Amino acid sequence: MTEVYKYRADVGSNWKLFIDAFAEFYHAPILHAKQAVADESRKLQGVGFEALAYDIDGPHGMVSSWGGMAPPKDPAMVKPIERVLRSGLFGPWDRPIDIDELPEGINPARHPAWGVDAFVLFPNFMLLVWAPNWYLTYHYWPTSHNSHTFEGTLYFVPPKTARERVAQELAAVTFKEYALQDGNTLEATQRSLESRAVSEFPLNDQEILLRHLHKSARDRVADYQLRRDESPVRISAAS
Amino acid sequence: MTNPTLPADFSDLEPFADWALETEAERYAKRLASTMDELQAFYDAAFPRLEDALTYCDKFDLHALPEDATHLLWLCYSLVNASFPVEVWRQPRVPDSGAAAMEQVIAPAV
Repeated sequence: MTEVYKYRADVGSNWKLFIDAFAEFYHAPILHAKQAVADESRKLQGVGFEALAYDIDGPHGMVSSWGGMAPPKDPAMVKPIERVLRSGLFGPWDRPIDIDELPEGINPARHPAWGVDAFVLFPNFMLLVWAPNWYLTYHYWPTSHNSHTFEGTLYFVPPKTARERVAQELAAVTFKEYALQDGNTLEATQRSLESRAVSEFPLNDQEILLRHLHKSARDRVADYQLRRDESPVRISAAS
Repeated sequence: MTNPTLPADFSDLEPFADWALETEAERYAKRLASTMDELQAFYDAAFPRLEDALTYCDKFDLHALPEDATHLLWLCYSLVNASFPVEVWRQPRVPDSGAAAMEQVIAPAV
């Protein structure tokens, strides 16, 4: 999968906040409501969201999600451009490779409506494997305590035709439109955290990866502080 | 600079040939610089020809497209970009995106 689209953004928030925004999927039917046609959007919001599977391994974690939109059950569920190009957020509908059996770690629940698995590889790397044979990576590069550079990269099987190429273009452009919405919430979150007005964030049952990320990060900070405090004081020569 | 020329079968799209832009940055910038009326006019002209345009481009090897077919393909990429304001957002910018910006740093050669 060597056909690559890569995007970069400087974001005014701590790097962990963007992982918080991506390491669950229940936000999608609400924040990105307009991506589906109106009736479908209302239906999705009514249904709510539950993931298919969760797992944690050391400081890492994964969540598996359904995603029945590639192709949708009914073409009327999606936008006109998606109907013509047979593509959208979940990727091109026509799979370039027939895979008889997925590797053990992908779609661990073996659910027929499986759509995407998201892996958080601690500390700052994410990998999303999508059912229609493509994948996404996210890198979060801290540039200060309240800023980071985000990189999102899409990898596809190289298109054989212009039709396949334009279908991939739609998936890539859709990714960017979503990411702009996701990114925008982060600077507001950062500002509210810095105000110290809110000292605790309630996390819900679906936010397993978020809890695990912050626990793993805190454990490492605590470990560092312990080692720092225990180590003998060094008196450095005046410069 | 003269506008890129499209294949003769698509002369009806020639008024929109300035949408035949090679990079995503150019396409996105043109979208943001356009009014909704301009985006709607482009969409209304190009969307009904999208299927024909794909069929036309697919007569050639993707990596050996004639220049005019390349322009047509770029125009299709622009249509993808402009479809969001027209079909979904009702405004050129992505709503709820505030000051967020994102640049494409790697794109396929074709």
